[in-house]
Amino acid sequence: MRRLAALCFPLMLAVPFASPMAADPLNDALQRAVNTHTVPAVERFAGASHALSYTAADNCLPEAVKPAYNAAFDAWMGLQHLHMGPVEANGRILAIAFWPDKKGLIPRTLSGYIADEDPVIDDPEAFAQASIAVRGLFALEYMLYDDQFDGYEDGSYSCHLVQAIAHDLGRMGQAIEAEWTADDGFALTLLLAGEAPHPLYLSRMESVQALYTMLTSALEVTRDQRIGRSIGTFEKPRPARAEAYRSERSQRNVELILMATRDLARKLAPGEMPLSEAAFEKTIALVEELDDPAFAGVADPMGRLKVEIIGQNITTILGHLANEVGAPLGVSAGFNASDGD
Amino acid sequence: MKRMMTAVIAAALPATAFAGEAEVVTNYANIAEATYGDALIKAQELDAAIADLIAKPSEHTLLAAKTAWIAARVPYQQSEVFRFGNPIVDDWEGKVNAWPLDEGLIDYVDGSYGGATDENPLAVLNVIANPTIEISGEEIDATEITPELLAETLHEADEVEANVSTGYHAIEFLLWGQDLNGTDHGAGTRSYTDYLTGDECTGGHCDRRGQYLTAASKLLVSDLEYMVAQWSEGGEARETVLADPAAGVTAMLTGMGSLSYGEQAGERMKLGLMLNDPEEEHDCFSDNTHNSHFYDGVGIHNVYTGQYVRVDGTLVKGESLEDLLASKDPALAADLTAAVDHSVAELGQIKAAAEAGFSYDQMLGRGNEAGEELIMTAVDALVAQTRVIERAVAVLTASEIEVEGSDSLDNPEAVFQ
Repeated sequence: MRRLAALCFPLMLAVPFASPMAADPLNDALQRAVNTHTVPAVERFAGASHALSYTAADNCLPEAVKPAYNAAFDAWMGLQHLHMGPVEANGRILAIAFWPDKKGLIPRTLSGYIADEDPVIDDPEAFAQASIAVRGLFALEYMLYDDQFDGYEDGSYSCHLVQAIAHDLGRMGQAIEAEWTADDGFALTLLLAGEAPHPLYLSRMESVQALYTMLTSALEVTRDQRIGRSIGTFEKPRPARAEAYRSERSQRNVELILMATRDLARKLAPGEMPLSEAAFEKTIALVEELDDPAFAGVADPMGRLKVEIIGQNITTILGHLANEVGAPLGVSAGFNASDGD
Repeated sequence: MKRMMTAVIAAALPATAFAGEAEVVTNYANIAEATYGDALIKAQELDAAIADLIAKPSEHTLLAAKTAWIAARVPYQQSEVFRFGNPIVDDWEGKVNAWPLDEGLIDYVDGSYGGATDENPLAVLNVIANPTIEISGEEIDATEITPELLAETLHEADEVEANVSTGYHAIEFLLWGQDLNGTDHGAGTRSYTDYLTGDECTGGHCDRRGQYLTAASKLLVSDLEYMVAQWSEGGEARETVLADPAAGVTAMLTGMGSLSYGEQAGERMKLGLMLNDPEEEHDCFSDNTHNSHFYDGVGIHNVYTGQYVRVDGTLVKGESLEDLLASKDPALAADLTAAVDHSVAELGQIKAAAEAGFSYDQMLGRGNEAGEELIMTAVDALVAQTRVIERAVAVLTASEIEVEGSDSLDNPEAVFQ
């Protein structure tokens, strides 16, 4: 978002935190969001990425790995909007999901590794430092779904590479979970704010603002990138720029993000959010009706229009969230990681 | 006289405006005008050096042009802080500082560069070698390489961002050539003979290469002239921030925060490090990235402290955001001062190491722990600074709350881009 509106109502600072009996909608929202949204999301991804790592170790071939891969990707879609704390630390969010790859670095770097049989894949610690172009869900997608890479055999270099990527994902999933849920972990950093063992946010208001920024920026990125990149312009739609089109997950990813953000919005909302609920429901229904898993349909004017309309509906959701979630909590979005180019 | 004019502007403000906002945004506009003015002066010197190079290609004239380019980056990078808060700058900046680029669009490249990609069918168009080119199925006469051809036809051709035909980085490529050293030390090594005419010409089409470089240089000068005018007395960018000082303060903070976090810490530094990819260096041909990062940080410092040292050494100084914040919340002002000082110092460490011979591309190398540490501590400082800027936004713009999205509720179609 180019225009900044990171605003707090100073009067909210007067709300007493000390008494557990006093009505404290801000703190209640924080508790709900952290405990019933972020923690389950982190646990799901840790479990699914761990399962992926085991599955690939057992059988590296594409058909064997794909179900676990998709389960891990599903779990990631429930977590990727929380671009904060352990998800952001050490660049994990980029290592797990390097997209968009505007310069085609993933296939180029993978080809280099395979041609050179780069031994770094045998050392998990060293692989954790390798280029994010050969790590994470999108490198794995090329290996499992792209004709240029998916014809490998058991025991081959490519097979070990798939196992290394899967293992690395499992390692990151577990590290995120550990750092989020530890006794002095990031969940407490959010919940206790200034009194946390490792303080990052000075007040609960700042914690809530950070979560609200995650909510809105995830929707903005989905509209501007996941949808915007693929629809291109009317004259020039760009189906090959759709996210995860090789694994035909473009449509599913948008749907899962809408569900994840709706859940976060519900947890943050201090009261009912009828307009937001209606807008989410309508938008999710539009995505489900698309029947265009890889967004290939954007090449056709009617298909493109349908995807474009989903983007417009996301804008509507954002407006309602500002009124039904942001304003009553006294927060609006701060800076986010996609403020740049 | 200046004081009187300020008073008139202040009198026109809504009653809720903070005292001092008008002076702060006036000084901000003055700093912007001086910074772009300096960028223009240095671009004109670069243009003269390029004219010398084309007239008398030699090692000496090539070196002089490169030196002028490096100097030209110093004021320009300090101007980047004006970008995000001011749409008039953001809409324009792609002409002068777009990056990264698929340089094969412009000139010959090494075989390792590859060919056309899914994303960019024009990645190896090589307009210097081809007087007739085809873009999106349309044949284009490029017999003469003019500023218009670069700006209107080639730049972002086929709607691909990596088709950068104009600006500092196109010129950088034409002066240095590709850096083929990977993450080892060393910049591009283009020879002056690429600009010799007749049989001595290397790389082919030297006359067209000279035409291209000249056109790109002229265009940079005219683009900067435009931006200087926007910030001068009566210019649109200046008038916009003066007309609504409270919004101007928000623009200042937006520019600082967006440059710190999403752009600098994220897109330019962290992503390149995690890709171990020297092409993700901001000034990848010249290996001047350490300076680009450093002067971005200095630009943020300038806007906050309300002062700018011009390229002739004179100081532009006035009421600052720091003063304004200190009048509302002295402790927070001190925090932000410390944060901004700290990030400039961290970026300064990268610059110091690079100037001593440990170049930025080496820092990006896989397993280079010292480089990773240098870059990540600077990234962390920029991220931390962003949080303090958010706090400053809360304090300084508290009277301006507006609920976002009302346009979209009325007419969803209108706002979707």
